[in-house]
Amino acid sequence: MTEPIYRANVLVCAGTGCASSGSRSTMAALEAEVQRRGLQNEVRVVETGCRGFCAMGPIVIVYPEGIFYCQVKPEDVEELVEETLVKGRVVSRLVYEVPDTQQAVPLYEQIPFYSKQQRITLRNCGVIDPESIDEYIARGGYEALGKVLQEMTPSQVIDEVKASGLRGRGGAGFLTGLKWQFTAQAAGDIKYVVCNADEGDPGAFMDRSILEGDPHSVIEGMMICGYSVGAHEGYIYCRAEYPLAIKRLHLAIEKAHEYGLMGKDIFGSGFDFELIVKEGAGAFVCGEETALIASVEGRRGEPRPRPPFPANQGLWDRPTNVNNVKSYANVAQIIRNGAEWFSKIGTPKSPGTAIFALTGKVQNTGLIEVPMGITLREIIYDIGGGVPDGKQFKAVQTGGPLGGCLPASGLDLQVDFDSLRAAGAVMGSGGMIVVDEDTCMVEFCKYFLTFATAESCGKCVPCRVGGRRMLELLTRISEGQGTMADIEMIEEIARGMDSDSLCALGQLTPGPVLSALRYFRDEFEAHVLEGRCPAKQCVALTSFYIDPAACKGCGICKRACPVQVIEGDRRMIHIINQDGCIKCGTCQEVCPFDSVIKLSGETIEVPTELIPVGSFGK
Amino acid sequence: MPDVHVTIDGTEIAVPSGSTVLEAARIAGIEVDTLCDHPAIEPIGACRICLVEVEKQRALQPACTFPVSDGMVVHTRSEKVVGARKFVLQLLFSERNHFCMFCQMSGSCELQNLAYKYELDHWQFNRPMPTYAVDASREYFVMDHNRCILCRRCIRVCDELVGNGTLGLKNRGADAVIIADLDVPFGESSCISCGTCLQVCPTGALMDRASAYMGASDQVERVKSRCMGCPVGCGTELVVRDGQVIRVEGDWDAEPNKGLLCVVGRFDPQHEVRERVRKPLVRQGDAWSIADGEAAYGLVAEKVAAAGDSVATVASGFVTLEEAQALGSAVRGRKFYMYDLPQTDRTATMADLDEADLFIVTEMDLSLDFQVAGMAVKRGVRKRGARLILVGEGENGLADWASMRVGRADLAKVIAMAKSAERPVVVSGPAGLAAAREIVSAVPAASLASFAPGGNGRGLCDAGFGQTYAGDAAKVTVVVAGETSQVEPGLLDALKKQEFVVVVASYREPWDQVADVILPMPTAFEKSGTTVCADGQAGQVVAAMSTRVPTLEATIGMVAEAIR
Amino acid sequence: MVLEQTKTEDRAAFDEGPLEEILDSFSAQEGAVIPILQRAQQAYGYLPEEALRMISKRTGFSLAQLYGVATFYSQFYLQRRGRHVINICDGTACHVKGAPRLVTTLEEELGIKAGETSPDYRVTLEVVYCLGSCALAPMAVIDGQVYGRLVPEKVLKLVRELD
Repeated sequence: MTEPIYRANVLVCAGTGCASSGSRSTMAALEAEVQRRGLQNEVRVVETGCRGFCAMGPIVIVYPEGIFYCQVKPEDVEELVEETLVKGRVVSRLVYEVPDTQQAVPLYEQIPFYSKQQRITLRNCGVIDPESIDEYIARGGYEALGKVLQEMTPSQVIDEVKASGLRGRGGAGFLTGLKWQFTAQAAGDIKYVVCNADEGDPGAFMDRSILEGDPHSVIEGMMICGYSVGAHEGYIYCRAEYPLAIKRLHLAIEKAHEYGLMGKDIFGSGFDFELIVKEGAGAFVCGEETALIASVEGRRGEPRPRPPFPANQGLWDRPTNVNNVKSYANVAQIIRNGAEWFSKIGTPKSPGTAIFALTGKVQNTGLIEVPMGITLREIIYDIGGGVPDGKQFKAVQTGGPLGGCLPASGLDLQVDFDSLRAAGAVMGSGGMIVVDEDTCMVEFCKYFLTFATAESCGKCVPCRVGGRRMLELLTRISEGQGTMADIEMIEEIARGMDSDSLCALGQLTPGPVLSALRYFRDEFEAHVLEGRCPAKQCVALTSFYIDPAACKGCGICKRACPVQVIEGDRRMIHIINQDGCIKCGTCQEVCPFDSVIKLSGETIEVPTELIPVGSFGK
Repeated sequence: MPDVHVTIDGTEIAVPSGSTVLEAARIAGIEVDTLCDHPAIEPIGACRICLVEVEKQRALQPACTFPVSDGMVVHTRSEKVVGARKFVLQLLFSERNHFCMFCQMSGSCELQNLAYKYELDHWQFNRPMPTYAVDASREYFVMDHNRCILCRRCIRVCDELVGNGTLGLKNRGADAVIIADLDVPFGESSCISCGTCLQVCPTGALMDRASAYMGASDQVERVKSRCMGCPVGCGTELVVRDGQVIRVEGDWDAEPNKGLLCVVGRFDPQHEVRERVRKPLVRQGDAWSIADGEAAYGLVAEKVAAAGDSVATVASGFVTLEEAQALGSAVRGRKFYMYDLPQTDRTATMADLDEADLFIVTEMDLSLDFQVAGMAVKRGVRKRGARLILVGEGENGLADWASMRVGRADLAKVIAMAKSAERPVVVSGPAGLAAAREIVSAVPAASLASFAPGGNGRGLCDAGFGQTYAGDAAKVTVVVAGETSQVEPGLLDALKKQEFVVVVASYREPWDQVADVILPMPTAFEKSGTTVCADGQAGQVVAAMSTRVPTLEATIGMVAEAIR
Repeated sequence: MVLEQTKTEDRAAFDEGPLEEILDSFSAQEGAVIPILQRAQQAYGYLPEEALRMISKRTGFSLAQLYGVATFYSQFYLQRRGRHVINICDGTACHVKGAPRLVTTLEEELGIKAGETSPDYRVTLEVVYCLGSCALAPMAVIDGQVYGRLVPEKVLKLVRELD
C-alpha cells in the first residue's frame, strides 16, 4: 500500500498539557471534518507530542505553511478546515496574539515563544507522530545506531561522546562520555544501562515531553550507550504518574523489535539489546541513581553511599550506566552530526542546549529549549513574555525543590551548569519557576522544604532530622514567632545538611532556603523584627480590613464570610471582627468595590460601631 | 590483595586494598566513632557519626563504607569532623525521647557515650517529642520506639545473621518506624525470640526485661563461656553483677554461632521457674523432705554399695567432660547417655553451612531444635540465594524458606538435585539420619551436619557414656541430669519402674516424679569444664558465679566417703 | 472501628485468582516486587494483607520488607479506597495559583481530610505534588481525568457529579 502524497499536514499536539485542555476531541473533530469533506487523501491529521507552549493548548499547526493555531476547540474545527484547508486563508481569531501588543502572529517560527529557542533534544517533539517509528526514521532516526554498530568500535563511540562535551542532564552535569567510559572499563560480563525518567521535581515536565513526543530518541541513545559500555539489557525507570509516556515507550519498544532495531543481532552486527520499562511508584528520592537502582531491584528506594559507583556496582551489583532521559536523547544526534557540531552549540564548558519547564508568573508558560549561555532575562522576558498583570518580577527558582532562587539582579546571568551553581542556584533537572511580588520568600522556602522533607527517605540523620528542624524554624518565622537566632540556626542546619547528608537530596534540600537568605534576607528579617510579611502571604502576619471610605454597605462580604465575623447593615460601613477572622480572603474576592484591603505589619483606622456609609471621619 | 598506603591523622600505614577507611583506621589503632555500624553486619553509612575528612573529596565521607585508595589522606579528628559529629548527635537528641536519666541503658548506651565524648551540654534544637506506643508484647524484651535512633542494626541482624526477616521499616523520612512483619505487635509476629536485635541495639530502644535496671556496663563483668543447651555449642558472654548472671549474650568471636544465640541459650536460664535443688531431698512415700547431708549421702552410699555392679548411670547433655570422667572412675556398672547418640561421621562444620548452596534438612524442624544452625540455613537462603529442601511431612518452621518439600519416599529426586549442587549440606537429627546418610553416600560433594539432643553428647560418648539409655534394669539407677528440662515421658516411665533412683540435678522438676533421692548439682553458670560440640570442637564452660551447691565431683566424693 | 470491620469483611472475600495470575506472569523476573504490587493494587484497588502474604510466599521477600516497600512509595495503599479518587495537585504552580483553596473546599464538602476516604467509600481525596501540567494550574485529576484551571466552584461541581 503506498501512502498518498498529502498537500497539507495538520499537526495536533497530544502532549499531556494539550490533552488535558481537550486536544483529543479537537483531533477527532478534525479527522471527522476532513472525512466529511472527502479530503482524507489530501490532508493528513497527525497526533504529535508536546509543542511546549502548553498554556495555549490545544495547539494545531498546519503545514506546509506553518500556521499556528492555539486553543482550538472542536467547535472551531469546521471553520479551520473550511478557511485554511479549503480556501487557503488564515483564521485570524485562532491565531496567537502577543499579550502586550495584541499583535497577531500567524506563523509558528515568528512566535516570540519559539523564536529564541533552539530545539535539538526536542527537535522531533510536536513534529512527528510519536507512535510512528517510520516518522522517526524519516527524520534520521536509527541512523546513528546503524553507524555505531557498523562503523564504530565501542571506544570510538565513547570518545565521540566525550569529545562532544555532553554533560549529564539530570542535574549534576557530570561528563556523560566519562561516565560511559567508567562502566565500559568496569570488570564484569553482564552490564546494564538505565534511563532515569523519574522526573519528580514539581514544576518540571521535560522528560515526560520527550518520552511522550519522541520516545525512540531515548531508546536509540540507550542502545548506543549499551553498545559502547558492553550492556545488552536496559531499564527505563519512569514515573507511574506518566501513563502516556509509559504507553508510548512500550509501543516504541514493540515497533523497534518489529523493525529488527532491537532484539538479537541488530543490523547483523551481532549486538543484542533488550529494554524493559519499570514504573516508579511515587518517591522523589528515586531520582537519585542508587535509590533508583534499589527501586528497580524491588526494594525501598533508599540511596546508599557512593563509592562504589553504579559504574562498578550498580543494578544487582553489576556495572551499570545511569543517565537522564535528556542525556540519552542527545546521543543519536551527536553521533550523526559529529561531536564538533554539538560542542559548538551553547558554551564551551556546557555545550548543547538546556530544556526548562517555564512556569509560575510568566505570560508564556511551557516547555522551552534554549542554547546554554542564554541569559535568564532572555528566557523570562523574550521567550516567557515577562510577568503578567503588570506585576513586578521578584525571583526565579531553578532546579526545583533542590535548587535555588535568583533575584532580579541575577537576570543577566548566563544559564549553564557552572554559573548557576556559583550563584547559589542549580541547573537541576530543569524546572524554572518565576515568582512575582505576591510571593513571600519565607512561604516559598517553606513550600519547597515541606516537599523535600516529605520526600526524604529517612536513612541518614542530617536529612531525616535536619530537614524537619529547619521546617519548624521556618514555620515559626512565617507565623511571626521567629527570632534572629532562628535565622542563624537555619543557616547552621543548612550547612550541616549540605556537608553531612548521604545523598544529593539531603545535601541540596537547604538550597532554596540558603539562596533566599542570600538574596532576600531583608524579607526574613521583616517577618522576625517587624512581624510583617512584605508579600502579604503569611496568614498569621496579615489581616483584612474594610476601607471605611470605600465601603458602600452592600452586605455582599457579610453574606459571603464563611465564619460570620463581618458586622454590618444596609448602607452601613461594614467592619471585620479581627479576632474571629480566618483570613480566607473571601470578602476581598467578592467585594464589587475593591474596598477590602489586606495589610501586614500595619493597621488602618476603622469605625468601632456601625455608622452610615460616607460618615466615617466626619 | 595487595596493600595500599594511606595516611590517617598523620600516620602512614599499609592496609589491604578493598579495606574501608574504618578498617584501615582500626589497623592503625585509631578509633573512629560509629553508631549504625556493627562489625557483624554490612555497613550502610546511614547515621553519619563516622564521617571523616578525606582529602580531595567535596563532602565528608562515612568511614564505614568509604574504600581506601593508594595515597589517600584522611583526617578523623579535624574541626570539621568534630563539628559534623556534634551536629548529627544534636539532631539525634532532638528527634525522639532521649532523657537519659529515665532510661535503663543509661551508662551503657552508645548514644549517651558519644554525647559525653563530644561534650553535648545542652539541647541545641527544638524537641517536638513525638510519642510512640511502647511495644511490650514480647515475653522477654520490650521495644520502646521513643528511644530508637533508626540505625537499623536490629533489622539488619534479623535479616543478615538470623535470616528471619521479621523486622523492617515502615514509612519514610522522619515518619519511619521499626516494624515487625506487617506492622503487628512484636509478640504476634514471626519473631523467634533469639534476642540478637536486643544485643545490638545501641540505645535503650530494645530492653531486656530480666536485666533492665540491673546494672550498667561499668558495674558488670563479662565471662566468656559456652551454652550447654544443645550440641551447636554456642559461645556466650555471661553478664554478671554481684555474683549473679543477669543476662546472657552471644559471643561475637565464637566460631559456631558468631554472636547469635537462640531463645533457649539467651533467655531460658533467666526465666527459669522450676524449684532449685540446693540441699539433698529424700522421698518418704509421696512426700519429700530436705535431708541433712549425711543422711542422704549415707542412704545413697548404702544402696550403691549393696547394688554391686547393678548400677546404671544416665547422663544428660549438661554433664561436662570432666564430670563424666569423675563419674566414670568412681561409679561401677553401666554408663548411658540420656538421648540418641551423636554421630561421629558428620563432616560439615557450622562454617560449612555458611558456604552451602543447597540445604537438605531431613525430618527435623530447625526452628525448634538446634535453632542457631537453623539460622545459618535461613540466612543462606535469604542472603546467598541457597536453596532448601525439607524432607519429611508435618509442620515445619522453615517451610517458608524452603524451595521444595518432599516425602521420605522421594529421596531419588533429592539426590538428583544434590548432585547438581556445588556444595550441598545435609542437616539431620536422629530421626532423619538414615535418609541423610543415604543422600550423603549417593552424592560425593555432600557433607553431613547431624545433631543429636544434649549439649555435650560427644564429650560423654568419649568418656564412655556411649549407649542410649532404654530403661535398662539395675538395682540403683543414677541420673546425672544437671539443669536439663528436655525429658521424654518415656524416660520418666522407665525410671518409675526402677528399684532405686538417685537423681543429681539443679532443679527439682520433673525428677521428683521418679526419684528416691535428689542430690543438688551446679548449673552451667556455676561450673567450669569442657563440652564437645557436634562438630567435635571442644569448648570451655566457665563458671560465672559461685554457689554453695557442691560440684558433682564433691558429691561423688561424699558418697564414696559414706560408703567407706 | 470502621477499619476493623472492613478488614474482616475483606478477608472473607479475598479472591486469590487475580493475584495468582499476576504472580505467574512475573515469576521469571528478578526483583519484580514493585510491578507485582502495582498490578495487585490495580486488581484489588489497594493492597490487602492477604495479597502481601501471598506475594511474600512467592517472591521470598519478607513481610516486613514488603510492608516497608508498600509504605515507602506514595503510590501504594494498604487500606481500601473510594470508588472515585480525586488528586489535587499542589505542585509549585498550582500552589501559587490557589490549590490550597481547592483542597479546603473539598475537605468541607466531603467532611474528610486530604488523604482520607469517605466512610461510604465513595471518594478518596488526595493532595499530590506536581503532575506535570503546570500550565493548567491549578489542576486536579479525578479518576484519571485531568481538569485544569480549576476554581472552587468548578471542582465542587465536578465532585458533586460523581455517583
